[in-house]
This record gives sequence, structure tokens and C-alpha cells, in this order.
Amino acid sequence: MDALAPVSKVQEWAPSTVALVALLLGGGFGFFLEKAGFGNARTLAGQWYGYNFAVLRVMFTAIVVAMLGLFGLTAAGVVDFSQVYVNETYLWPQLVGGLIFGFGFVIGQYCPGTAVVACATGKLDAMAFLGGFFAGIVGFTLAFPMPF
Amino acid sequence: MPEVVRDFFVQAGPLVGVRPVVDAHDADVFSLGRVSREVEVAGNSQESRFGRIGREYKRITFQKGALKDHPDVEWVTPGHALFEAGQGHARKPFAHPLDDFLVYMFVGVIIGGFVSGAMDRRVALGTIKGPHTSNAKRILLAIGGGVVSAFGARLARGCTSGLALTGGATLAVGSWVFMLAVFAGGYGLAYFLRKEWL
Repeated sequence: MDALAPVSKVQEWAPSTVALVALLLGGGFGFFLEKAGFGNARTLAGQWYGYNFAVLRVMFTAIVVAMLGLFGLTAAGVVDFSQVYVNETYLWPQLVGGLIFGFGFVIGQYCPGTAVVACATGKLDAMAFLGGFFAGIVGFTLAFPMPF
Repeated sequence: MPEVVRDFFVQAGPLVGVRPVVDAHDADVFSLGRVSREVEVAGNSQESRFGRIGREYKRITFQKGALKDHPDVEWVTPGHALFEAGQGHARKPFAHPLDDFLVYMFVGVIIGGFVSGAMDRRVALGTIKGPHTSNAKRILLAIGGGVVSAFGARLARGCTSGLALTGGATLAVGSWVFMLAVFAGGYGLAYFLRKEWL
């Protein structure tokens, strides 16, 4: 596991440390996702039907804050950007996958992260969404087997 | 030792798309060619520890001695970026699939979401739906939406969190393409499902 390269570049962390950091990062993400109201499909539906733009506001604020932090710390010499994971570009899969994902979002009114926090607060529709999501992952893997 | 490295590399290499072919004139030299995409990705993720992996290795050897006769040949040995990328990747399927950074993070998201919901008294069993639709229809659409999202996320190799948000902040091209496509797809379909929510 080398997901923490920018934090620790000279040594590998013990697996238990990596697990703990992952747990804390996930905890923070889940906490604020829920706090922002994203654990409720009605809030999420608001962005598609124009009655609540919290999703767009929070989402782009989060991106800009992370971006400023990342590039600010890089400029200050704290972060080594060459060690930061930048998602690879697969243009057509990402374009077509994004369209399909957008369809799924509007049909189910959750995306995976928001569905997880909605599950955590007892939303049955979110549990249905996640059930479908895991079934879909299995289906995709069976339909398009990849060695790894 | 070099023989062990060679045998491992020649036998395990094809598992990750790396196929060294022994040279007709010198049994210590192998031609390799373009490195497979998966090994290149694995190599890039280990760059801080083993240096930059090449996209292509024309000729390689596992015997240091062979460098005398073939100075143009790349000497591959433990610690070499190509070797480490290949062996790390070949070993991956044997690790426990649930022992992964993302699994712990997933558990963290559940805990964090629950804590926030509990603090504001939002934890309650129930179905969230629009005012003019039934519970059954909402649940069926949620399942269907989950299946469709999963196909999209697997195809694009990421979802709103890992690809759009995280990658968007690093200004990854694919992340922004994905994000705009999600909104295009969403707003394109939203009209036809408006009765579910309005």
C-alpha cells in the first residue's frame, strides 16, 4: 500500500498505520458529507431539479479548497507533487462512463459516497442503491474480466 | 541468484503482460519491447522508491557480466524499477482482496456519516422519496440506479469521490471530463424522471 507517498516518502508505513489513516480520512469525509446534507436523496435531487444547489456549491468549494491547499503546500515546499496520485486519463471510458454514471445518479439519486452515509443513517433507499451498486460491480467484472 | 531472478521474471512476467524473448545469439540477453500498461502504472506508483520505469526496454539481461559484451542492454535485478513493478503487480492477486486502503476508508465513511447523523438526530429508518411516488417505485429505481452507476464507475475507473472530486483538485484531465459527462448525463435524463421528485 503506497497511497500515502506524499506524507511518507522515505519509508513504508506499517499496514496497521495505513489502515488507521484510511479510517480517519474516511471518517472525516463521511462526517462532513452527512453534515452537508448529502445523506438524503431529496437534497441530491435538488441539484437536478433546481430547488437546492447545495451539492454543486459544496462540491466545487471542496474541489477549490483541496486544489488551493494542494498547490499552495506544493509551492511552499511541504508537499512533493510528483508523489501525489493524479488520476490517469482514459478519455473515452471516462466520457462514456461519466454519462452512464450521470444516468445512474439521476435514476437512483445517490452516488456511491453519499449512498454510504445515507445507509449509515438508516435510509432504506440508499441501502437499495448500494445493493444495486455492488451487484453492478459484480456484473461488470463478470462481463469484462480484467486480470487485475 | 541471477538465474533465480531470470526464471522468476520469465515465468511470472506473462502474468502481467511482460514477455521477455531470449536472444538467438546470447542466452543471457532477452528482448522485451513495450512494457504493459498495468506494469507501467504499477511502476509509476512506486517511482519514489525505485525510480522511473521506462515505457520500453528493447533488450534486458539478468547477468551483470553480460553488460561487458552488450553495453546497450539494461541490467534488470531486484531494486530495478521494472523488476519491482512487475513483481509487485504479479503478487497482488495473492494478497487478501479486503486488505486494502479503500476498504478501511469505506468503514471510516460509514462511521463518520453515522456520527454526524447521530449528533443532529438524523438517524432513522425510512425511505427518502418525492411527494408523488410510492416507496416500492423509489426502491426499484434506487436499485436500478445503483446498477447503472456501477457500470459507469467501473468503466471510468472512479466515481464522484475518487475521480471527480479528488482528481478534479489535482486538475486531472480525465476527472474533469468525467465530471462534465456526469452532469451532462444527469441533466439529460432528469427531465424524464421529474415526476419522481417534483
